[in-house]
Amino acid sequence: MKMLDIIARAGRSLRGAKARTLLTSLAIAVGAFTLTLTLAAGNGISAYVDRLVQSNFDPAELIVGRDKEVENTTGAPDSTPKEYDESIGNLSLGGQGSMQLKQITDEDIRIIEQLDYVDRVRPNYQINADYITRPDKKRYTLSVQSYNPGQKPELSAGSLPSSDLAKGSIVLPASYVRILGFKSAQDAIGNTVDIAAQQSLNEAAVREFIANGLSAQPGNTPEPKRKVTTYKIAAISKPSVTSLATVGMPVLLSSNDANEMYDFISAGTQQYGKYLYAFVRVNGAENKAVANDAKKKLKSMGFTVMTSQDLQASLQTIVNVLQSLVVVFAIITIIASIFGIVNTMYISVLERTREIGLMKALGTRSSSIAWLFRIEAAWIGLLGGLIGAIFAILLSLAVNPLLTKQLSLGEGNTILMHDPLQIAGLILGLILVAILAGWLPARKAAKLDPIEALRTE
Amino acid sequence: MIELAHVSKIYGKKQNQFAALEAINLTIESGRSVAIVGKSGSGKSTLMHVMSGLDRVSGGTITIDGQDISKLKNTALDQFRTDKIGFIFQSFFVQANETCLQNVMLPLEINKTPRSERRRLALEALEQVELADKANAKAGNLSGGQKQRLAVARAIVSKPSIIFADEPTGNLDTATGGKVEELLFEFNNKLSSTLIIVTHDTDLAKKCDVQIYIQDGKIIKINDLAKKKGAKS
Ligand SMILES: Nc1ncnc2c1ncn2[C@@H]1O[C@H](COP(=O)(O)OP(=O)(O)OP(=O)(O)O)[C@@H](O)[C@H]1O
Ligand SMILES: [Mg+2]
Repeated sequence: MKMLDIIARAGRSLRGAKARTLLTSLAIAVGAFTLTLTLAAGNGISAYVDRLVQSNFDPAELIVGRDKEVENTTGAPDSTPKEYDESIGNLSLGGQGSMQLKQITDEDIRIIEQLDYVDRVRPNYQINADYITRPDKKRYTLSVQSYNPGQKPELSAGSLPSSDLAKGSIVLPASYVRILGFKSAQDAIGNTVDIAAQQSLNEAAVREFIANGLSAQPGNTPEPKRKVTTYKIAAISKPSVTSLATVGMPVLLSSNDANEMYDFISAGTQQYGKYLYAFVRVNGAENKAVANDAKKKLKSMGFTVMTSQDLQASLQTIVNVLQSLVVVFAIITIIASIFGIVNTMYISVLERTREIGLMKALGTRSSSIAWLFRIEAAWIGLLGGLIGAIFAILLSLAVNPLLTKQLSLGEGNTILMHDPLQIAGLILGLILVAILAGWLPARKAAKLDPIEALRTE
Repeated sequence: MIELAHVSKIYGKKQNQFAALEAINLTIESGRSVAIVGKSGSGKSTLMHVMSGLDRVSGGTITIDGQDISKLKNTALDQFRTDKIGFIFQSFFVQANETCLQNVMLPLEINKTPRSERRRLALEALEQVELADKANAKAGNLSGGQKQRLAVARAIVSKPSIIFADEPTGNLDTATGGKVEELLFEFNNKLSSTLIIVTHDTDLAKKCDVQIYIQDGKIIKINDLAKKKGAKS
């Protein structure tokens, strides 16, 4: 018998038992449905993570520091107590105590800058600016970062240079436009704002305070030095749906200005000229191999390094763990449905004892009889896979707009992303599983003695 | 030509051994019509099964058209039945949920006749048993006589050289049974295929060229009418 005829015959006999076929397929469909949705969610979340990393990190930049924590991508800092190091400042963790982190210094940065494969280095300035304001306006809190030409924010007005910002100019987040009294984003361009920064208390300041004849008592502390700088607005940045900033969009300063402000704030303290880490832009590090090569070289110099690929991978790991959990459940469902197929196929063999007997008497080979039942099982797998996948796709079409809105992913971005190839692969897998499930019943059918089979009245 | 030499068939093991066939020697010329007659349990069906390659002998050889089928591998034996044998059973064994046409096309599917040919050949066979108008009817809806005619069409569609019929009229009344007999002898003549009928019916047996009487697994008498006829003329 030709394979094509076997396939057609198997399909015909399934059509003869519609209810049973459908019910058996539905058991597989549940697994297929769950798997299709899980894979789709995995695709969507991966794409989201990609976008998240790409819009927050320049793929060519490596995060380089001195402390092991820089390489820690698990999110939870190492909790074993460490020996106190006099030369390192304590980093307050708010109510959770403090930790010591080795920092990278201006000296280190100079060394890194001179490496031939390094494009430029941007220290991560921890700038605690006080407020932003304009004449006759209220003072508002803000966060400040140095501008990274490799990571341009979306703009609602103005324009950005391809290299660093000009000294004295800034990028202002759109949320400040109205409250600082501008009519529109366009209106703000070219205007100025004032940003105040406060010098941290340092030994020199305290000494000066005491020298001026004042004693340090509670409620009578030395007045910290404050500097107000006027900056020109070069551009207005749009709020980004993928921004990782927890305190709103940052005001972006040129690296010169950022450096100046940080030096002013940290002057005389242990933090002066030291940073938790620096962003090191390596030529061609968008390429994973190049990035890893640079990472290896920097590590051999005693630095701790994390590439944007590392970061992406660590975020992806979390997604993968969650995904594999659901996949395990889906696989359990499919295993359960295998028993359904085995059962259905045994019933089918019993029901068709005479048909099998007749076919064998007329010269059908045992292997053809076995394939007849295996393919019948395969049809059930295909049907189950299709039903599951179709329902999963329909559900995705229905809930995607809602999810996009709820999770504010931004227009055109969906969390359930179906990949036709993946679905085809899944269905193919289910067909194979079904064929395996039909193996034993098919063997039973193949071994039937035609004389016995034809005796059954 | 069918030649059986010292054929035996033993069922069971050791103490429970039972010889359904014993020392059968038999030669059947091609194109003859043969009736195998005997009481219930005498071994008629068993003889038919070993001759047609449905079952294996316990001893002896069966040579059909020069080929010793007792030495064939399973797949070769399947191929042998596909190519040479047509079967008709007492209880029809038509596929009730399939159409008449599909039933008749089954042997053509098995012997890998090209798809385009199958329909034509099957319709031809249906026409010969006068069921052409039922081609697309479900076989389950046919009467008993029609079902057996359908089985005849299925047996002849692949133009086998030997047709085996086990009690072909056993489940039919005289009139409908007569029609089926008529068809069987017609094909025996027209296709010059050997016809071997297992039957209780002495009237039917008399219509055959050869009658083989068997009892307790042994041939007790062979009546060769054609030889007698040949002798007379
Ligand atoms: N598979 C088997 N196992 C054991 N004994 C069997 C088997 N098949 C047949 N027999 C025995 O072999 C003998 C011959 O059986 P067979 O079916 O050939 O008889 P029959 O002449 O066709 O009878 P009937 O006219 O009732 O069909 C019987 O005694 C039967 O019980
Ligand atoms: Mg019998």
